Amino acid sequence: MISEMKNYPTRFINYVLRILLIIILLNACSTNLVSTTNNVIQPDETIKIAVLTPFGAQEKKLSYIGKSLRDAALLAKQDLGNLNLQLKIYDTEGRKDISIDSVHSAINDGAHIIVGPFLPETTKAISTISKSKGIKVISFSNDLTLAGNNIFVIGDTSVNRAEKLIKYSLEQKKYRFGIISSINNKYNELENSIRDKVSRNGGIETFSINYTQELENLSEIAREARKKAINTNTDAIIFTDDPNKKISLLAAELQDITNSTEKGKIQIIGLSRWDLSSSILSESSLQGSWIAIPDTRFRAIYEKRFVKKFGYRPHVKSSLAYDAIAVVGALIRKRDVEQNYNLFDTNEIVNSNGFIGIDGIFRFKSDQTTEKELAIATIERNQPNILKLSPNKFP
Amino acid sequence: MSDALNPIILSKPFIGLEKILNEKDLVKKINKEDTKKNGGGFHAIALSELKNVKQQATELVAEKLRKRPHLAPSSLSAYTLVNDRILRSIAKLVLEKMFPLVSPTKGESISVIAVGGYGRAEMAPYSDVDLLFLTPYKQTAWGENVIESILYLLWDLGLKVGYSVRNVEESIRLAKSDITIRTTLLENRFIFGESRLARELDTRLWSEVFKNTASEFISEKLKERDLRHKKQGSERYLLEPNVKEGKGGLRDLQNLYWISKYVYKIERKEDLIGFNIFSANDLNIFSKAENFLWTVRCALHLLSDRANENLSFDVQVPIAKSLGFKNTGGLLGVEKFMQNYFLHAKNVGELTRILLARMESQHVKETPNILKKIKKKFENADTNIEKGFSLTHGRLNVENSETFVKDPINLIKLFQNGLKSSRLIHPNALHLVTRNIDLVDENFIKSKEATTIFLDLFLNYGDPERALRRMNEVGFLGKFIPEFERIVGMMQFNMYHKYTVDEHTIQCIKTLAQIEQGSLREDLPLASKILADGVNRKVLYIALLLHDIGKGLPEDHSLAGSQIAKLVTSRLSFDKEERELTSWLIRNHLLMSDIAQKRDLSDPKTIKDFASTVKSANRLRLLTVLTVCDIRGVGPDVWNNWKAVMLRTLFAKTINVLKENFEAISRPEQVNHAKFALRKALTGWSEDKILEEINRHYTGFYLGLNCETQSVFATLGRTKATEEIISKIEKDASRDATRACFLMEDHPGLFSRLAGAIALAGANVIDARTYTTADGYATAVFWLQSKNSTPFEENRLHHLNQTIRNALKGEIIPRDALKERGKIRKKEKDFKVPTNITFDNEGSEIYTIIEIDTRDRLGLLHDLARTLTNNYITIASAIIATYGEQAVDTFYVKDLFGLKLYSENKRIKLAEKLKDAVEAGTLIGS
Repeated sequence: MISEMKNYPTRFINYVLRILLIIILLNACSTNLVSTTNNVIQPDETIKIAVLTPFGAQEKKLSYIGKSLRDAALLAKQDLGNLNLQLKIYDTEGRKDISIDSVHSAINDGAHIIVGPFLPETTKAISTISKSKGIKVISFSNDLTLAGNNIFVIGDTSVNRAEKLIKYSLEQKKYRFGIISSINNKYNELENSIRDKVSRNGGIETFSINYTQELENLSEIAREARKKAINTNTDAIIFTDDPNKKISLLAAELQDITNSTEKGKIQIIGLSRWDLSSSILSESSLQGSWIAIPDTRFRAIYEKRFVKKFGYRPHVKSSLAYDAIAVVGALIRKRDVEQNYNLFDTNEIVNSNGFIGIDGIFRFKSDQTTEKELAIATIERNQPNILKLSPNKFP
Repeated sequence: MSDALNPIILSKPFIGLEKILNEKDLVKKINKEDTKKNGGGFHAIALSELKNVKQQATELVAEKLRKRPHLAPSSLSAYTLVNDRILRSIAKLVLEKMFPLVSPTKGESISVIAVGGYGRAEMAPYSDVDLLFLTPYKQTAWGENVIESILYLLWDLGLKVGYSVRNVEESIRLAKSDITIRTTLLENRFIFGESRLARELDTRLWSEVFKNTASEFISEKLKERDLRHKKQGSERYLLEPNVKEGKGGLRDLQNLYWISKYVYKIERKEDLIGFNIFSANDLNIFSKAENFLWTVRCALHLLSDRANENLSFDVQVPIAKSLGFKNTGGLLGVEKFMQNYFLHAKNVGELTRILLARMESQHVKETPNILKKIKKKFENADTNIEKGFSLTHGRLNVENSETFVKDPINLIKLFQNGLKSSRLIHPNALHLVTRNIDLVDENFIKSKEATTIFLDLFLNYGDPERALRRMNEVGFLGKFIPEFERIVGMMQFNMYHKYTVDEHTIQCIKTLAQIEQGSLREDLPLASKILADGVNRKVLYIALLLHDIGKGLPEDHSLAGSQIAKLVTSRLSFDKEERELTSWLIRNHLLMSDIAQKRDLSDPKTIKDFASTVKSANRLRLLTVLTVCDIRGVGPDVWNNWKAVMLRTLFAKTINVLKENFEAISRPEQVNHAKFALRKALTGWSEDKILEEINRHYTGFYLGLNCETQSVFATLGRTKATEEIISKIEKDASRDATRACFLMEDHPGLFSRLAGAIALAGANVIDARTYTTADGYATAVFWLQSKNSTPFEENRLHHLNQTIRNALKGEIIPRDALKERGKIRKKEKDFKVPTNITFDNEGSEIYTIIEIDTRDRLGLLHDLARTLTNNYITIASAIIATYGEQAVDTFYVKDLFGLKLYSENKRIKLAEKLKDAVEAGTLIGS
């Protein structure tokens, strides 16, 4: 695997570095579709981008994320050089009412597109305006249910990771999936999407088990899972929950049937970002699990430049703002080349070739969610090791 | 406009600021630190110095305000000065140090301008800093860098910045097309940079935008205002108003000042007197309200440490305290504070509306005279309005204000004609009433003519709400019924009441009128029928008007109210019988609702006792309607099917007793009826099985549950008893609840275990019964609701059932598991609910009734039931009533020997233990 890394075309990386990390449209092909909106933009009109982030939030962590997103947007703007665009920053404080006010004043100020907000609830709060006013929004949220009504969701989602992991599993001849998830507000939707991904790609769902946040009879649940997994000839068990102690405990109870280094044993798959949790990575019963992680090759360079400009380390999600501004930049460039003045038409944003972002390539789909290419890794010696690199273009 | 022309004048207590905020010294110091270069870039050095100075300055102001909150109005300019000086220092550093220009091009200049509230130099501690960066033409790279650097420093200083970047041309264009931007630009104040640009903008705004557009501006502002009030008028803002945006809040005042500036070019409200817009009295009302509102807003900002404009429950108590409101007699300090707030807001809200409308009419393009006359004749012809009144723009107005005020009766006639003609009353006419309110004197309120018209407003036009609301808004109601004035704007500091007392009263009357119109026939069939059959409407309306008039007095409000009502009804010339009836209704206005919600209606004694208090079918009818209106008037979501069913049942049972001359249907007869019904319901059962089932249950089962629920238990009994717990959970639509039936082997403590498991599953119990069968089983029924007081959704029932079963089987001790989750939300901690425990041995033939009145929380029922069980008390049923944060749990109990709790000693001890159980579980969350 490591040799594969070395073989990666360095020319490509250099190319990306040379253009200062600015996202480009991959093989931009012209799709001169008929415009559906009236928002035709004049040839040399300054594109106004309203950036909504919660940098003034009461909560410390949220304000840090907000500040990182805000500054990432400023960095992207700087990298876009003399492109004819204007950023205007709005502080939502992570509050619904302020987000709504911000969108209203952004529209008053003539904004062409909105980038942000961050929280699902603030995104939801502005969705009625974006719908009625016909303005496009690229939200940093990763809540898929918010996509649509002119809202594009750029955040990284479990469903996207599920798709990549399931596809990989099928390539590895593992077809039969069991699902273990905790009951929380989102589980139903997530479970249904996973089920959908399994069956669409030709896999089979063998069982699904839920554990609640309230009751702690985990061994009972583990017993049930073991029974079902064995009875149904399950190839792989998918854990959907965010990293927590319960995953480790359940995995420990299942260890004798899941040690995936041996043939015929059941593969554990983690849907959430296990690579960011050191306690999960160091859990012995989870060694050998598969996870999906973003392409990390450009991130180090990005963070270094960020620190140099702003003097602090950005939050990991800040790249979403960088990518979003860069997408707008790419669309403006495309306008200038192709003389297409409906640059924020859904058809323009939904580009099947995609964009290169800080975390690898991504594209907006027609349902206004984001598809991101990811690397598949396994946990070995308490750290992720790449099994399959993130592709550099969409199939 | 510029600083030199309009310097910020500090009032005396804040003079010390000038010294701290010396820009020259500050800039010099930062430059010096920078040349020393002790670590960090220029940004970091500047930031740390600025932070330091800003902190010193704001702390100085805040310190004074905390000691003397009433300095708030004069602190506004102090806060403005802090922002001005900081901003000017930043701009200077950025322009001269970071991005100096050797030979600037024509486009490379910039002007920093304060706009909006900041432009007006009215800054509360955490107000937004609204800025306009004005550029000459197109934005340059240099300009972009300058603006970003200035913003970055402001952000890092933690200031809330609202900004825009425009050139003069754009600003003018946007001001023309957008009313919000136009308003913001109306208050522009030059701060730093190229002053010529700022001057150019101001001159062009006046000559190209503001000129000749006054009427358009006013009507836009009025529209905007109505919209804002509509938004802020929704239920959640009523008792937790927004100081800035709410009705009668600061925005209303600002609107008035903006318009004054726009139309008359005046800066000071005092100057409005000269334009015949304001009277000296109006000015006085405004100034007081304005000072009060700013005081509240500043206190709110300082208390919350942010730009909080919402006077929510959790901040009301500390702010009332900091402003010196103390508890007295029947009113809490916080209630007095909020009443003050509402009265000021009411004054501002109504007067600004009237004054803005007057300004509008002064600027509306006048129709030519002859046309006007014809139009007027035409308008007046088709409506029935009396002499002395006329229509102006379709609104009822006064023909001649001098003749109008000559006869005070005209004041009340105005409202009567408003209803008669179905016309809205013109603001000018309303203002005339306010100005001449002193005409409503003792003679007037006793006069036959006035009282007749007053009653006429209720009885004859179908819309008493409109008249009452207007009368209340202009202060007429409180003068005509002087006893009413005390409850105007009176808040009840709890989570149950959604309106102030006067508003609640008007809501009740609105409901009554709606029932009369027949528009609530589906929701309220009983009350609709009673009214359709005919009752004394006069008594009913006046009883509703006065039912809460005793609120805020030290004694019980029902009793006090019934005494006050006697005086009022005699002024209104009620006859003796009507006076007595009104007074009786007010004294007992809570009785029916209490019995329906807190007592076991299947117990014949309950009905008998209630009937003996009510005595006549006529009084029962009136009380029923009054009770329905009262509950519905509390708030939109308070009335539900559950309450409806209870009241209907109580009414039906009581009217039977009253009609059959106090002889209720005997218990055995009722039980036989019930058995017969159950027998019929068990279709497909063999005769043996039916007999077996029917004989399993004792009397209580038949009296306490309806046939449907009994059948559920019969079916549960037939499922093979392999499981320890047999249960069925389903929706009970007739009661807006989820019904959970459990059939289990009976043992002491079963009830409390079930209550605990249910609480763990996150469900609220609203009613519960448990009966023991002859063969040693318990048949327990719980009626449950989810957190938002609705039945559980169909797809959650399985999960709910599973969770309850798991909890019953599991080894979790609900007490511990519930502790965390039962915490009282911080926002609600200030609602004080004292715990009251009463024992009643008379209310039921066989049980002692224990009523525990305390703060509601998750697991309360479980804690109480557990305590009873631990003390060898058997629980037959539990009835739970909640009123916002308050819960009343009523238990029907027996002791170990099946007797009532006769020993007083025992009762006292038990009460102590129950109190301990309540307190042990009460935690305040963070």
